[in-house]
Amino acid sequence: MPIQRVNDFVVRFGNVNGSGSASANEMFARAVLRMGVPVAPRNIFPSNIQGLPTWYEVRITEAGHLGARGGVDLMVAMNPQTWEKDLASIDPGGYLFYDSTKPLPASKFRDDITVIGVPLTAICNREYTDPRQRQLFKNIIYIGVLTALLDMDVKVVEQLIGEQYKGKEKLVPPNIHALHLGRDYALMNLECPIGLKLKRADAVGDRIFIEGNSAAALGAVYGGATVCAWYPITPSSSLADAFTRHCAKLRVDPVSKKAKYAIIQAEDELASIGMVIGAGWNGARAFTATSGPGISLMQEFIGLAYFAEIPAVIFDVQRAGPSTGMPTRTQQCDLISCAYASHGDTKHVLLFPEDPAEAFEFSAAAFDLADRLQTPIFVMLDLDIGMNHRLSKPLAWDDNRAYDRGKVMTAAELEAGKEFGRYLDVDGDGIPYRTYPGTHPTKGSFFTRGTSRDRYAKYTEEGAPYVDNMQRLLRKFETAKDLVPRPLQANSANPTKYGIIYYGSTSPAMDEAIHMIEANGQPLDRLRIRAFPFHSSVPSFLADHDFVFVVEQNRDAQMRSLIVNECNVDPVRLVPVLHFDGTPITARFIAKSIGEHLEKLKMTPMRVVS
Amino acid sequence: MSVSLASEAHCVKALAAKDFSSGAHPIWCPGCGDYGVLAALERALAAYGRPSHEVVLVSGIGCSSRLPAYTNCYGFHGVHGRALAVATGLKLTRPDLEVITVGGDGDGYSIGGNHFIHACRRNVDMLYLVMDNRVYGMTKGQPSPTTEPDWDSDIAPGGIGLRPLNPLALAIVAGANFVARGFAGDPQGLADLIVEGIAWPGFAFIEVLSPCVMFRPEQGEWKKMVRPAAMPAAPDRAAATAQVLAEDGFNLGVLYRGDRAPVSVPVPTNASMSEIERQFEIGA
Ligand SMILES: Cc1ncc(C[n+]2csc(CCOP(=O)(O)OP(=O)(O)O)c2C)c(N)n1
Ligand code: SF4
Repeated sequence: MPIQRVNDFVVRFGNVNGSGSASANEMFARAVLRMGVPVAPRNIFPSNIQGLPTWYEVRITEAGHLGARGGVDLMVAMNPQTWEKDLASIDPGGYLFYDSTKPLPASKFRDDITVIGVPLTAICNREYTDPRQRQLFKNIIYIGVLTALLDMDVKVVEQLIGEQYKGKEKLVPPNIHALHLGRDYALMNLECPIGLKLKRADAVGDRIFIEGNSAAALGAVYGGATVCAWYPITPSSSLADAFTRHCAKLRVDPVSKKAKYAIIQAEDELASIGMVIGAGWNGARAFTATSGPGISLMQEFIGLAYFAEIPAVIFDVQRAGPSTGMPTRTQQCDLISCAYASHGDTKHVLLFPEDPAEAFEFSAAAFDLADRLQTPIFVMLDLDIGMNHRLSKPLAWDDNRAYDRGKVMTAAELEAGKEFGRYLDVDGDGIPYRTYPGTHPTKGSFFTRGTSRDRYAKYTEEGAPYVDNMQRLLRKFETAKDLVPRPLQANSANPTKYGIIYYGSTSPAMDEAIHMIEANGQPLDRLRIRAFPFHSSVPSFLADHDFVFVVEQNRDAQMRSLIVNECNVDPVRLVPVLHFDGTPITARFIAKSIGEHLEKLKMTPMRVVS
Repeated sequence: MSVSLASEAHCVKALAAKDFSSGAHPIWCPGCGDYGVLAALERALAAYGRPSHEVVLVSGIGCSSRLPAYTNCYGFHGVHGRALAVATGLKLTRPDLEVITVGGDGDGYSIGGNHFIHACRRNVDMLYLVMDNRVYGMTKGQPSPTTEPDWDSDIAPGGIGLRPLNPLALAIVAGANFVARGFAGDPQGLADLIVEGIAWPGFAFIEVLSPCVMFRPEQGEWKKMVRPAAMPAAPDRAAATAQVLAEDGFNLGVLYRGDRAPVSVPVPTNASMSEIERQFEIGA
């Protein structure tokens, strides 16, 4: 029985990288959005520039589930290289749309799906002579076919074409012509619509459609960043690109037209983090954007910034490691290498945004935290958030918000005789005062070093002042617990002894999974961790529940390790739920893993051995 | 059986370029210059005559650094920018192997810049071949150290405005003894340079102009601009440096030959595990 669904299905496009399909596919997603139906698109791309398989998945979801769902209802199979895999990915009862120019034997299909063939190549060859045109218009033609198959409002697509070619109006009519070539073919030759339909709705609201990297870059602009030093690496390069674009618009002196920012593509990641530290030391707000391999290279400098207490912001757009790993696949796999980055006793502040709106918010907050705590702050994004368009609540900014520049002693204070010791804990919160270089001719200067020193920044190899300083750094880390974004707790309507901890890009899948789990009569309380070090509500949540599932996207249960390490909890009570094949975690996966575990608990009550 | 016997056995039959191909289909864009470099390298290895299992290709990360996977030599595709370090360790412990390092301009001159300088001055016997397309291909078109100052890109609209690095001058100044320029569109000329570079005792550096059709389509013009160098390789380091600083970057051929002694390591007669382990022994 063919699947029958309205505004709730998954369309997946299988294409060849570099064939120009990306913009047509994105136009399809935007058209659905324009019809008032939320979409969650995801790009699954290879580490290559042209010729390898690439997929674009559009989850159409009036209910607003923005995580990956798993499974495919309609496969638009445009890449012969991946035919078998694409065919197999279709859910029973689903649909396959393919280019039928070359007839395929029945053995090439499945009999539990509906097969829709359109001779796309033949249509293109008849219509166009230029090979590049044949390629590009083929993409628009299949979008035209989809408008008929799914009963879409074709006017919306026409309008999007008009917007896409603003300034190149000559290109509008041929694209609209191609769109209708496909649509008319389908209307005349195929049964339209199929069981999957789109209906106008009003479910998008005021949400915006934005990539996490772009939102984070905008957060950096609003957060006051004027210096970006970086080195290209997927999936973080688009953050630096976006910062460049945002700054060109927002950070140019209106009178002199001069740029009020510096963006430096450095020779490597070591240089990038060094430049950030140099800029941060003198009071600028500076950041770098990188991914796992870059984090590995930056380790020594990060230790310096920790020990010498220099503000810095590091965006880690995580991808699947180790080493070069799967550079175009997503994971949450750098928690440990960031939390304890560098040799010796070090600990760092990490922020875990769940989506572009939080990427914006936490990005801006990171610069305040870096100045307040005088230490590196990591914003832990990942490829799934960073490089996909996500429907997100509008980015909010209060124009009255003042920057928190932290404890900076001024020339006037020094002049008035206030005591200055660069590493003196005057307030008991572990945070000392600093001065910007050049503050006062005779007072307040200090020497910055990565070697041990006393409270007045004087070199020392004595044990006691070293220990005093290291203890103070711990006090500062304690202080951070109340400054970073708090965890968010959502309790089940029914009391339960079981809980779930999750963070970052797992969020949308979890929001959906929780309904699936609860529908099974298994109530669970949820805690979304938004930062490290952990606020006191994390240990309380652990204390309130017998077992807590820790859901994450890495092999080694890195968040669970951080919790065990920092909260002194019995590891038996933390059940790892791990997804790490490089695809984004799905609600189906979470519900299944947790559901199975809860069933087991029901059958054989486990005893906690203490 | 000893290695030398094995190679004699192979040498009985002349090697062909295809004997060095892994058969894997390269995932470079159609028209990428790196195809020409691969063809030239296979041709050169066949002409040089050592069987593929006695050759090691070491690379970093980038489109160009994928090249070793398309040959059936021993390959080492490591981390971005560090290929020369790996190759040095390899050659010093297995001098019997033919070591060739390949990569891109980003890999070799930017993140790997300091290793490049020190490999030139260390002068360990190996060939280093850089496929220079004056752009970061793999990460989608950012400027590299050899990019022209006015080349327009998303990240640097209007150009980066920085003086490009001259890798040949740098190599000569840093102490390299064999410095050449080849072109991906001239596989035979490049193959000849590679054979000479492999045979050269010590560190040999070949800068290969290898167009990136995707992000630098204008490099299609290079084929009209290159020419065999009219000038002979300059006689001394200072003159050679001045010469490569003054030319336009399109002269092909060997531009400098020096005479510093290479690092020489005794070649073991036999590459068996027991021979390697004999070196672990502690002798008085
Ligand atoms: C430590 C580290 N930083 C960044 C990257 C991302 N990266 C991969 S390839 C590359 C540059 C490629 O340029 P080039 O070496 O010129 O080779 P091409 O692709 O142009 O052949 C970069 C920056 C990485 N893999 N590792
Ligand atoms: S992007 Fe450029 S360097 Fe990379 S394969 Fe394509 S043409 Fe070659």
